[in-house]
Amino acid sequence: MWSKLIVDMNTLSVSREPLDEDFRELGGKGLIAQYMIKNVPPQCDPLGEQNQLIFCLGIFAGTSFTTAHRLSVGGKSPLTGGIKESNVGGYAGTLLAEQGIKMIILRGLPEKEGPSLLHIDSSGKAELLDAAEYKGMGNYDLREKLAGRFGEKVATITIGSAGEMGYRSASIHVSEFGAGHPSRAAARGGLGAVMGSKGLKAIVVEKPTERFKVEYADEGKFRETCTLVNKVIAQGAQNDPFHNIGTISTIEVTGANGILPVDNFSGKLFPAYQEVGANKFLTNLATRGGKNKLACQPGCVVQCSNCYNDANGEYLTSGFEYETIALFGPNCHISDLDSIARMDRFCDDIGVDTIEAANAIAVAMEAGKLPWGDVDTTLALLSEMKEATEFGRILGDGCEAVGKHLGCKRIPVVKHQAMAGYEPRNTKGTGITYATSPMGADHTAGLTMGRAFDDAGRAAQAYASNKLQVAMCIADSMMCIFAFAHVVPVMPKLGEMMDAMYGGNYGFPRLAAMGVKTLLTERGYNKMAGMTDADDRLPEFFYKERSVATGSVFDINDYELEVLFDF
Amino acid sequence: MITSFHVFVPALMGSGASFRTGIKVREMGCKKVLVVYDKGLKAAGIADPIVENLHSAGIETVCFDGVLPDPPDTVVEDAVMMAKEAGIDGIVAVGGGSAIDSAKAINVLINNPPPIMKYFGVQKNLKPGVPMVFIPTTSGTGSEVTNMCVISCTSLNKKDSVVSPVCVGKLAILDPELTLGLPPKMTAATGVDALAHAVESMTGNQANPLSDALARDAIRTIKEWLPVAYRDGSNIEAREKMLLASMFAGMAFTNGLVHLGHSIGHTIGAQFHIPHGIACALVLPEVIEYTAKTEWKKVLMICECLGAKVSPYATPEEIGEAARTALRALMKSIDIPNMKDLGIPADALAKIAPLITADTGFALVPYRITTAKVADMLQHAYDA
Repeated sequence: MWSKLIVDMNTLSVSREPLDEDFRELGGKGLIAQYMIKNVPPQCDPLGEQNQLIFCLGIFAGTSFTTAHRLSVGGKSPLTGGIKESNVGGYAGTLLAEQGIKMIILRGLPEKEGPSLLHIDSSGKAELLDAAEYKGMGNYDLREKLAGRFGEKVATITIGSAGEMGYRSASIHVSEFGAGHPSRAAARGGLGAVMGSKGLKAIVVEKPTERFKVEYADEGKFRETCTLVNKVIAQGAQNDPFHNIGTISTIEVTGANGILPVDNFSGKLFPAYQEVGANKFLTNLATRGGKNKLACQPGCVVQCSNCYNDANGEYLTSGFEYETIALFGPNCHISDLDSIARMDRFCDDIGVDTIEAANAIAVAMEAGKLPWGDVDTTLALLSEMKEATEFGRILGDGCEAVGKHLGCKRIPVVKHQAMAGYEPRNTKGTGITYATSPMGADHTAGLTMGRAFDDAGRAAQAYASNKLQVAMCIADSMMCIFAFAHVVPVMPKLGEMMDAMYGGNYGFPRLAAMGVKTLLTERGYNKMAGMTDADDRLPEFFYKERSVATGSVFDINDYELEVLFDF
Repeated sequence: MITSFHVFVPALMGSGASFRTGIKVREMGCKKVLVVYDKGLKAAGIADPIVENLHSAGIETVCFDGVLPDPPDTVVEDAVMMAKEAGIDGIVAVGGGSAIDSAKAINVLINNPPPIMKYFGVQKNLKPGVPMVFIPTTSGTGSEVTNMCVISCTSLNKKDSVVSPVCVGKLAILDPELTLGLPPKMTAATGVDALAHAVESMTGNQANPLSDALARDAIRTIKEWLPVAYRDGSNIEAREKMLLASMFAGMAFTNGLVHLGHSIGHTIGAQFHIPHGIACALVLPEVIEYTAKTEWKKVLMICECLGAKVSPYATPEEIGEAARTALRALMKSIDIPNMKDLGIPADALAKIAPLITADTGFALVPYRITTAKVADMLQHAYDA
């Protein structure tokens, strides 16, 4: 039977208990929603005593289902003030599953100066250790020290100095399978600050000597169906640009059609987008000993990850993704891929969300604090976060904090969270997702690009957003959304897998219902936290200013947004 | 809002226009064409003169007279075999929506391997087929000017559509004389299909000024002339007006698309084997009433076209109610039956509603509506 670890930071104690029966069939995003609504007061202070930080595995953890070991992290967000589930790849999910730990719950606040680290050893023993020696350390140094102390093969979940300092854009970093770089981030919503507030610097998970075995209602049926679905995903992945290139391939589409954000969501086109595009990326990989087609977790068949070296062939960053490139690139009028990679590395090291940081820099550029496209000043300002200068602290609190501080009128946030790399006037369904997702402006909640008739038109956009938001709740409860994209031809099989694992004969509707319930629970949580319909809108300038790339404005009427989640 | 306008098919219109079929087909460079129609059309004496007209222009013909209502994929796939064996280089379809849609599906499969169900949805990269000429003999579908065809998938027992440039004709020939013999019931059933195209295209999120203009003209024309054509099928002016309204409405929905009324129509039509036009009309007044919440300006235009009086201070709800009342009155005037008249059991409504919200076209509804509310609409329209 699955266990949960309860880590009480008040008493610095750890207890291992059986997973609640209520949560038996849940995982990932769905589990976090149900846990939060039952256990974490919606009006609590996100960095206070009553908030909790939850790490948990997906519905199919412990099985051979591809990408089943994504790790979900949840809590009340210090950035949005609402519920937050941020999920991440990397190796930790796999080792937690092998340990038989479905959930880690972090609660309370420490009385003494921290930080601590949670160590789960190969016998399954979990204990809090003093981590004062790691205080203020960046994720890369920290990973190296922890690997030196506990072995190269451990998985680590860490925060950098940003999390310790309570920056509202602070991320939580998980080491990659294989190389162990701490470059996979549960980035959004400032959950790194929640971990920091609890005084936990790291979780170290060792490979257990005895591997936990999951229970199946019908193991044979599960294996048969799972093998089939894995095959379908693997076949789909063969033609997937995310596999063959990486997520950077998205630029080739968005750069051409005005979806790529440029100069703080100005709505312009960026003529030099291919400078930060797929060809440049692949050339740099090939000539510098970099790599793509890497799996961030064992068993992944999509393998979208990469390792990006500098001009001297030295490791610079990994998990170098579209969002970071779009937002530190064209959205800051920067077209030098190496400079963007350095920004990515810096953010990964101190542990902040690149989407939030890049948007914050873009609004600072718009406000005149630094010129458009100024790489050196961008890197210098990012360093201020590490040095904790006054502006560095504001920058660490994200895009809205910087925009307000500098008097910028155009601040691209929803529910205080900065937008991802998609211009909502030119992919209106994604704009609907930004506006209505309980997570804030989050592309992973339902990116509709290419799924409605005309990305810049109105028809079918709300429908696409609604369907995808439910679908993403299902995906985020069980797997990586990139693998999920290839399940579409055999979607009902996921229901069969669910039945074979947990019993019953409900089929896919069981998962669909779980997806809807998750969304409605999250919305209910936010409502109790004080959010209203007004929080489900884009900033005014998207409604009023035309995107000069397409002439489009965000013209989805309020009523369409209000009824989006009527089920 | 920025929109794009599309008028796909040139048209030749007027009494006797079908006598130019041979010349026009020869101008297209065709030597041997597949003529697609149904047996009823041959019996009515409409098919043969067109075939002879083609012959007199030196065009060889291969006739496929196996068209069935709600064209089944199997029939289409059989016809393709025949067309390929004969080595045709053009298609002439004569008839209602079933004949024209069958011809389109045949054209899709001329250079793309079967089955047709592989191509359901929006297709941008199909291999082109051969030139097609469409000669409608009903005033309803507007299929002669659209870029899509609706085909019944026999194995899955559902209808779906192929949307592709391969479905676009080279010419539409509109000859009202060919519609003179259409019986009153068919005149009414096809006429309300055109009405549904017009009012739905206006209230969808893809409407544009061109589609609105075409739809408004179609609604005005249908309001005035459909009752006339229904009562007196031999009135050539009414027939000509209706053929024009049908084409305008077809052009309108090619641009503006249709939404909930057609999802309801497709679902009820498939479940209870009710003709397409009637099925789309059953809940249409309630559908337009529902759209008024966000599309009240458009619904107000519909009211004006239907001659319904609306107070300048009317709320969106009142505008919707006025449109519902006017649409239903128009339908009653041509004896369109309601669900109760058609013998649909009242307890079936709750079961139909989830199928409607699962229909492909449901994606296009102007704003989200729950299955429960769709069921309420069905209930309201049941014996209205």
